[in-house]
Amino acid sequence: MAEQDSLRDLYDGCYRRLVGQLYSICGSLGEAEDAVQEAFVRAVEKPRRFAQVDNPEAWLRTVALNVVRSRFRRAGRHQWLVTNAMAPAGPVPGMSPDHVALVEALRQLPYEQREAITLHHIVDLPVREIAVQLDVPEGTVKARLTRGRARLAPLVREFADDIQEADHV
Amino acid sequence: MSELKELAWTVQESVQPAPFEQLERRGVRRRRRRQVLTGAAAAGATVAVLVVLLPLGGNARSQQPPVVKESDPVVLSKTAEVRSVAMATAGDWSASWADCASQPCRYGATVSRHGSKVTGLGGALPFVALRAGDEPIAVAAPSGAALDSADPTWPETVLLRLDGLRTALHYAKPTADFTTGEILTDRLGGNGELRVLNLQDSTLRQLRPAGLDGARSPVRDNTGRWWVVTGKSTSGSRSDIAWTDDGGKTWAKALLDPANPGAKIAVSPDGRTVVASSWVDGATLEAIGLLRMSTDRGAHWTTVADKPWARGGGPVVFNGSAVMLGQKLSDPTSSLYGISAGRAKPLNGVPDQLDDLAGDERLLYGIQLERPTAQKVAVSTDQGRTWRTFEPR
Repeated sequence: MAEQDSLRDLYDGCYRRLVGQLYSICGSLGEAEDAVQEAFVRAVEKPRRFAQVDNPEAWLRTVALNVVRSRFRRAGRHQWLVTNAMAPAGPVPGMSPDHVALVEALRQLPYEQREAITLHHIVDLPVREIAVQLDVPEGTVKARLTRGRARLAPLVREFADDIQEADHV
Repeated sequence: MSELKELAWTVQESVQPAPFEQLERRGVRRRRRRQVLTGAAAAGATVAVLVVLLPLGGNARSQQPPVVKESDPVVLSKTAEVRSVAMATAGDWSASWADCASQPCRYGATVSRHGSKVTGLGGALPFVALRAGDEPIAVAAPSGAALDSADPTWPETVLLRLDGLRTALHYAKPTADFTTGEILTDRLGGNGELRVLNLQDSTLRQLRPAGLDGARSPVRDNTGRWWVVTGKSTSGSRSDIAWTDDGGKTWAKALLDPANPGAKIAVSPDGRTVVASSWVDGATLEAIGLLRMSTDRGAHWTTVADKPWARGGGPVVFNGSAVMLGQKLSDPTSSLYGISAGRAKPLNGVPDQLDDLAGDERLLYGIQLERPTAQKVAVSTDQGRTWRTFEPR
């Protein structure tokens, strides 16, 4: 009972934050919510394993990311691009035109770059932790970040600043 | 707040969570279904484990040199990528491979020594290529973030050696010190925490070095001294260079960077020349905070001038000098930098997409991140002037 109570507290505390983070990868509110809900279902399903986790929110985010990634792979990259290019961005009330443009730009990035950008610039994970989480070399993460930042530079001030700084050196 | 964080915040504020009870019911239903199926699954798993473990039994030394079989699906797969490599000489190396073309990923490793090769099938746990002195080995460690005796993946662990038994690893309790012959590493899971691998009894344990916060990048010189850098992986963390001559019972320290965590330390074989770098967290690449060098075994330290903006690999330290992969802020390609007499300067280019740099005075190497999958290792025997590649499998 105590386990479920603490999971409920976690749900109240971090469900919305996780959906916000996943949205920038999925580009769809429904997809993002679905993935995060699946993570919580798995936590309920395996309570003993979940109780041993050091950082429950990180565990939930990893599971949700795995869900999104496996759906992406199952659907095939081409199908994903077609589906997402045709479907409008998930209806999110209060979203500014700048944010709509940013979501669109994120959806044009290869999946791996979107994932790396989200984990580093929204979740604030260091490169080495992302490498561990995604099970890829640090160099791969760095390359994905560099390419993703370059493509988002017109829409994200801090990325544009980097490029300007680099131009002046 | 950045535009990306604003976006996440806007979405977060608009979400209306479904009732928790709905998810709880789904989870409980699945749990019950799984419990019903457990009996049948266990029988199947026993057969699968036998299939994987049987080829790994026996002493490789007493048999003909093992040969990689065509049937090995991971190491020879066209879609597999090399994840790590450790080289003692051009012919003595180990490499870990992953094939993630379908989920879940499958892992394998190859160890090559004295003209013989052995391949570990691995299975669900990723291998890491390491060096134990001059011996290349590969290790598939438990997958849990914390090293725990109850981790269910212990039976799947593998210690792959060409000259000894290929065995599963065993848990040992954390200690603050270690003995001669044991290997310190921060690459066997645990988000980079220090762990001790004992090849004699095939145990793995957590090292909790007294008085060191966030120790990483352990490296041993030929005198037996172990060196590490410290500091929490967040900006603002002071970092030190630390070393021990008594197996971790006592540590000496020197300041690395007052405001950034330590990233990497390398030492010459004789232990006299040491180069260490700190890491400006938050940068996309591993931007270097400070690069420090000692040529008298840690008695005095110099801050290296004209350092590259970011560390791409290395450093690899020779007697009295060092090389590393570095990048300028204005140029995304890596170059080889030479470090000596307190200064760093670009020497020459390196193969495109070279990731990391390791080795010694006779042999430099690193994985080449070619598309679509990284399968080659670039090797130089003239201190980085010319390179060739090979596939370590």
